[in-house]
Amino acid sequence: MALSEFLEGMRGEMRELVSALKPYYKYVSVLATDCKSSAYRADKATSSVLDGAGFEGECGFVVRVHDGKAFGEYSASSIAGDKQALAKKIVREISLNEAKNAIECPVPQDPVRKASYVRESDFDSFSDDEVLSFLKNLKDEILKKDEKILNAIVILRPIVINKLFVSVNRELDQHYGWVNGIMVAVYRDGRIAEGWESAYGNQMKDVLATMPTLVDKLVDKVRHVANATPIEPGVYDIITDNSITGLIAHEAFGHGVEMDQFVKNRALAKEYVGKYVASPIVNMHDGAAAAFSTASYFFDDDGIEAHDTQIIKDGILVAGISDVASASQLGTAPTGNGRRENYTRKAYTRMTNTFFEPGKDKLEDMIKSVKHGYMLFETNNGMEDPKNWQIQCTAEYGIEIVDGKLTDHYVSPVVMSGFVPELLKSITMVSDNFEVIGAGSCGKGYKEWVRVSDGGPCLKARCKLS
Amino acid sequence: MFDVEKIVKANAKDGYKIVDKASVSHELFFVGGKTETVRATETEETKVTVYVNNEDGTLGDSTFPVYASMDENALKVALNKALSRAKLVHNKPYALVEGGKEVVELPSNLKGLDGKDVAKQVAKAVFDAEMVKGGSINALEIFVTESKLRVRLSTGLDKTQIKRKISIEAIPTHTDEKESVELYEWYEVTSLNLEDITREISEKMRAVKDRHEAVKGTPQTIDVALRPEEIMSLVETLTDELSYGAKYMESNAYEVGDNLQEGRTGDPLTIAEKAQVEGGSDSAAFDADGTALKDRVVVKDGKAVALWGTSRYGQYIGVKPEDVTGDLGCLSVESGSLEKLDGRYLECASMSGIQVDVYNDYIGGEIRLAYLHEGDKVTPVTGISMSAKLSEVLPTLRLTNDKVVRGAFNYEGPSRMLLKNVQIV
Repeated sequence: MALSEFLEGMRGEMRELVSALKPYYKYVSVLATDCKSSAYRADKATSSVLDGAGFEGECGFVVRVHDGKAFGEYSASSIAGDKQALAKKIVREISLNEAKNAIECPVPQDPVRKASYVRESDFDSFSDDEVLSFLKNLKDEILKKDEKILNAIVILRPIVINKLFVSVNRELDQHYGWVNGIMVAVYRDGRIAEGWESAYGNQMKDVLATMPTLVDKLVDKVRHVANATPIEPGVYDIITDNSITGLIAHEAFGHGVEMDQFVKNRALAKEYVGKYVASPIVNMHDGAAAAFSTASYFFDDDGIEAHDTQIIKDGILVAGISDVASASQLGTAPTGNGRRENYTRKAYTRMTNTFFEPGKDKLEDMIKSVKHGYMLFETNNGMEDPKNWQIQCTAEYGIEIVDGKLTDHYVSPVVMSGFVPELLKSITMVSDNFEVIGAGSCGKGYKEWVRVSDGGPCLKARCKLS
Repeated sequence: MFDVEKIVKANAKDGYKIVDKASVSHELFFVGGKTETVRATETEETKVTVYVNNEDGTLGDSTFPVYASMDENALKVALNKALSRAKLVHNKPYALVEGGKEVVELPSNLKGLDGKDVAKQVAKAVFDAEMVKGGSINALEIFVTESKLRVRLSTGLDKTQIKRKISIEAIPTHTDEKESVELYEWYEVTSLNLEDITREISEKMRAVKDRHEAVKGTPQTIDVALRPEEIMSLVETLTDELSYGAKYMESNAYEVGDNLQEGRTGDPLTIAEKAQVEGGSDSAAFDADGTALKDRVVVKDGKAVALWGTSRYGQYIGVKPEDVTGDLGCLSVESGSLEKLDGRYLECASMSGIQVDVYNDYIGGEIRLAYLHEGDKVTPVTGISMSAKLSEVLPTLRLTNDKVVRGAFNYEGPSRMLLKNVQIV
């Protein structure tokens, strides 16, 4: 399959609209989206299958203009009809000439470029009946494992992205898919605990093959977490699993190098470019082309093709990531990180696949090196604070390490807090294993959700836990 | 546009639901006090759910979106796919909501005003805030939105709700030659009151100056006063455990009759799920199923006394359709006995997000700014985290005896909740 039939059919109308707006502005582009988002779900008592699930399902248009000073945008479900009349309406609605005291930034570059990108998935090879039956059987398998499991919830979330970008000089289109499989077990042993496992990829057959292999791990985990105790607050040696490493990369540091925050003077990182922000054994990347995962698009919502941006090199902050608007204001080249929640929303600088590079240490040696501390597992949530670089990241659970050995003592939940560079500079070991976890999504502030991945190796560091 | 309902009605013989959402907005984005982007949106989306009575007595359903771009043929293809999918779903049956035709406009003085003009006035009101030396608003986003929700069911129900609101995301910042600090402000109202906006932002400017001057807090055990924002997060987490859905799925931490304040020595906690609070951005007359919303006290004097939630899960656990509350979006907390906060305590002014985990008996989070009160002495502190056992702070909490309404958080109730003996690190 290539670009969706609907978008292919809109190509001419989008060109017409760009032409109709060109006399009014120095830069014009139109992004069209036709993204299918489905959800299959089975739990103890119900099942469902639907289209248009979550924030990913969308179909519409967003026009972006620049008048030589600032930006204007118009989002619409349809651009049908007389394009000259629509152009006049857009000019009237966004009234850039009334935006007194506007910024003055250069007109975005619009080099001649035409490209079509397709990454095939196998979603159409599986019938609804096959998928739902698979989920129901998997749910039954989890429930059978232990009578203390109150509920098992199994979800499959395929999305198919179709986007077409048309400007005066460019036409880019892309078609690709991604599927997340999620299993949740709710367990009661005195108190209730919830645990989850995920599988992901761009081929459904791979995800369906992986999910059953995670059942025993899921059940073992909820049994332990149900009996976990609160952690004694304090500063500890920690070892992070791939997920918590990703949480640190994304939440503690990544938001701080989103360069729209540089423009707003909202990021301390702006003052640290070229300086040590982490231990010299730390290297970090972000980019749709940096790893193959859920955010591996071919071009972003500004029409900039995918990049691999090295953010930290040998402990030194070398670069941030940017969308077109922030790059234009900063006088830098955009890095392909302009993303919208959907066509109704503004584009911001957003992370994509964010991770630390693997190192040379063996995980078992890292554990052996800890006299007393915790290995932390699985992202619960995290809040960014790019201005002040304070961390608040929550792990689902931790396992106590005593005299270099993992014990059977689980603690949950575990909140990591502190000052980001202190944490990153405390990293003394980096494992040689590596995983980027592709089942996540992220907001900016308290809104603007997009799918992201993050991860990396295991890290040994020192951090305040509570 | 063709008649979606006519086509759906002709094919979905066992029942259907059509939910239309349309929205018009005017948006302004500022960087360093200057306009960076002017936006306007005009969007609509329809979601259709079809129901199938399966031969085994179960009910199947499936939902699909109808986009403005779809033609009649595309709708029929999507409809037939959904009808086939619904036959694969075998859920316990429930009755769709009954009702007639109704149009509700939620109270707002924004009706009839030009969204573009309102956005400009709001921007001026924000920048009119009192700026102390070193203060600025580094980033500002303003959204003026009118949205329409229409729910149509095969039972004949046809309800429309129109809401208008202003949303503001502002980043008050304080800078001197040594450092720059900021706070995050999300402010949502359903009516335009420029003086209120200026006052709110002025308060935040003073708070961010305090954060700038704050000293690093020290580890200790101390009473902590929460603001409406955090009180809402706490009580919302508690009442989520009392939803029909949680009960049906057997994942509820609380049952009706449970005492959430076992051994209480503090103020009794009484919480009502509500359809509307003044200025509440989630205030509504009916939910996405068309259920007319009914307020419900779910926690009375610390005891769980009732459940709440959607029609489907209400019916699943035996609630009569006419007694179902619907999916309520606001909360009311009864005021307590505390005349005023005094003595030695920490008053939260900005948290990065309070974490409440009923399963793990935990409440905590990073405090970005708090005021340490020691009698008449008040010291701004920062760089600390709080944590406590939920089972220990609920029985001993104190509530102020005032009542405030915070539409941005869909909350009404006391202005402060005092948690006793919280650990600070």
